Amino acid sequence: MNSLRTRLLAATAVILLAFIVLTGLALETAVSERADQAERDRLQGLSYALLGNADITADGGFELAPRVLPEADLSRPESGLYAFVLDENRRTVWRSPSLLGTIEIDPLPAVGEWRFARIERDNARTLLTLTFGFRWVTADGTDYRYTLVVAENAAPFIKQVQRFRGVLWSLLSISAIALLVLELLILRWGLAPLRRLARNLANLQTDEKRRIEGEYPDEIQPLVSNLNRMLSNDEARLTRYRNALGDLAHSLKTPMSILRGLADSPDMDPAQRQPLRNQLARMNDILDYQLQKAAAAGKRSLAPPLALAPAAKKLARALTKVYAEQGTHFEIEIDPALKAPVDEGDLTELLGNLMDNAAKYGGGRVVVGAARGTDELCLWVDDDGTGFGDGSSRQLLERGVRADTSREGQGLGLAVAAEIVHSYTGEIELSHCDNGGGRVLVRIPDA
Amino acid sequence: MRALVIEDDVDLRAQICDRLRNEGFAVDETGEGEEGLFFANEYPVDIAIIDLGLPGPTGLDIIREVREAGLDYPILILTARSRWQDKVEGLETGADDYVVKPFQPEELIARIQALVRRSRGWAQPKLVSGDITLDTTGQEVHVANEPVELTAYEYRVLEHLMLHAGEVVSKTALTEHIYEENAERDSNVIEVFVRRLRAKLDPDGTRKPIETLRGRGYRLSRSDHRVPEDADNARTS
Repeated sequence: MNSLRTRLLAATAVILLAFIVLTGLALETAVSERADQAERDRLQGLSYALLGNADITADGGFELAPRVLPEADLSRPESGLYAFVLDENRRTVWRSPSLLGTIEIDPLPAVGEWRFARIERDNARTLLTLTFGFRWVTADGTDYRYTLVVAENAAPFIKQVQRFRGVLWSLLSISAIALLVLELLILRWGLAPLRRLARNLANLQTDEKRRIEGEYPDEIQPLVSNLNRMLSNDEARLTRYRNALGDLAHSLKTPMSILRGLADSPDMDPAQRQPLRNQLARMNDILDYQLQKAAAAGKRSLAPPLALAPAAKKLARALTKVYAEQGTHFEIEIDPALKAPVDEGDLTELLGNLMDNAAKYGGGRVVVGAARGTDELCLWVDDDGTGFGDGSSRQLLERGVRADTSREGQGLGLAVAAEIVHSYTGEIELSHCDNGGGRVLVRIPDA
Repeated sequence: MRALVIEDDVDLRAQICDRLRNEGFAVDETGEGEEGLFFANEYPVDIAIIDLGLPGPTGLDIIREVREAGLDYPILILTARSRWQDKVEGLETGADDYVVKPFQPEELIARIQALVRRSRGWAQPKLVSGDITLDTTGQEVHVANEPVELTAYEYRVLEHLMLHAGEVVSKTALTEHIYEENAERDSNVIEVFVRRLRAKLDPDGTRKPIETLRGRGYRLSRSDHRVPEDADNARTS
C-alpha cells in the first residue's frame, strides 16, 4: 500500500464492488418480483377464463366444457399447464386433461383468497400455483365451496429469470472491470507529473545542471520551485561561505607574512627568532586546517556528478609547473567517463593535497587513479618514494586534529585530505603500492 | 635581473623588495593593480611576483593580460588562499609557481631564482660558461675554482650575460635589466662594468670570455652544461 496508485485503485475497487453488488441485488429483486407478478397475473387471467366457462351440474357439481378451455396446453397431457377444482372435502371435482397425477394443496385458501405459491410436485419439478377459494351459489340457493387451482411448470420461468440474472451479472462485471481499467488509466495520466518529477530528481544525480526542469501541475509546481530555490541557494551559500573564508585567510595571512619576514630580519634578536617562527607556523597550521575543514562541502544530497579526470588533469598540469624544478611527472589514470557526486572544490582539495604530498615526499613520479567499486568510489595516489613509515599513518592523518606541530614546512596535506574524506563518510588509508612507494587509498561510499 | 613586485600591503612589499635587492635584483614595485598592469606590460621584466588579492584589477587579471599580450617571463603568485582551487586557477591562468602566505623569505627567493634560471634554460642553480661558475643561490662567482669578488652591478651584468649565454645582449637590454625604472642610467657605465668584469674574470687577457659585437652588444659563450629548450617546456606544458 505504499504507492498512491495502489491506494487509490484499492479504494476505488472496494467502492465499485459494493456498488455493483448492491445494484445487482436490487435489480434482481425488482425484476424477479416483476416476473412473479406477471406470472400471477397470467394465472389469474386463466382462472377467470376457466370460471367464466364453468357451469353447474344437475347435482350441483362443477363442470367445465372441454371445448372452451382457454389454453390448448390444458388439454395436452403433462403439458406443464394444469388446472383442477377441489370441493370442500378435497375431492377433485374437475381436472384439466393435462393433469394426470395429483397436486397436493395445503392448506386450502379461504373464500375469496388468491394464493400464489411455488410447490414441489412429487417428481421434484417446481410448479407455480395460484389457488382461489370460492363459493358457488346455485339458483336454488345451494351453496358450494370450491377451490380452483391453476398450476404451471416453473422451469421455463426459472430459466428465464436465470438468464436475466446471468446477463445482469455479466454486464455488471464487465462494466466493473472496464471502470477499473479506466481508473487505472486515469491514475496513470493523473500521476504522470509525479513520476516525471521523480525521474527528474533522480536525473539530478547524473546531470550536471543543478535544477529540476519542466512545467508541473499547480499542485506540485510550488514544491518544484522550492526545491529549485533550495538547490541554487545551496550552491550560492557554499560559494559565499568559501569566499568569506578566503577573505578571512587573506586578511590574516598577509600580516602573518610580514611577521614571518621580521623573524628573519637581521635586527631580530637571534634568541627570539625560532620561537617566533614556530608560533607563526603553528598559527598558520591551525588556520589552514580549520579553514579547509570549514570550506569542505562534504556529502550533499542531490549533488550533481562530477567528471573526475578533468579535475585531476587540471591539478596535474598545475603541479607539473610547481614541481618543474624537480621534474616530477604526474600521470592520471582515470577513465574520462568516470563521474561521482562530489563537489569540485572538495575533489580539488583532496587530490591537490594528496598529489602535492606524493610529489613532495615521493621520488618524482606520481600516479593518480580512480575506479568505481561495487557501491563506492575508489581513488588512489601512488608515488615512487619510500612509502609511509610503519604505524605513523594514524598520526599523519590526524595531525590536523591537534595541530600542535612545531616544525615548519610539514604540510597538513594528509590531515586535510582525511578531513574531506570523512565529510563524505569515506575512508582513507595509507599503504604501499607494488613498487614499494606510498599509496593513499580513498574510498567514498555511494550512499 | 629586473623583478616586478605587485603586492598591496606596504610592509610586506617593502620586505620582499629589500630581500630581492639584497639578492642582486633590480626591483620595480607597486601596490596598485592598474599600475601593476602597466608595469607588467611595459617594463623589461625578468620575473613578476604578483599578489592575487589586489584591489582593482586582481592578480589574475594582470597575469591573464600579460599572457594574452604574449609576454612569457616567469610569474610567481603570492596568495593567502591556500585552497588548491585558487592555486590551480592562478597556475592555469599563466602563473608558473605559487607561494602561500605566510612564507619563509628564503623559500620565496629560492623559488624566484629557480624560475628565472629555468626561464633561461638553466636546470641547475650553478650557471657555467667555460671556466666561469656563477652560483645564483649564494651570489658567488668562481673562475677556475678561484673565488672572484664582484660589486653588485658587476654581478648583475655577469648574471644577465650568463643567463643569456650564447645570445647577443645589447647595452640597452643590459641597462634595462640591471637598473630599476627610476634609477639614474648611463649606458656608458655598462662599458665600464664590462671592462671591469673582463679584468676580474680574465686578468691575463687570454680567454676573453665576453665577446664584443660592434654596434650590437656583448655575448658570453654558451656552455655545454646548459640545458636548452627546458625553459619553454616548463612554462607551457
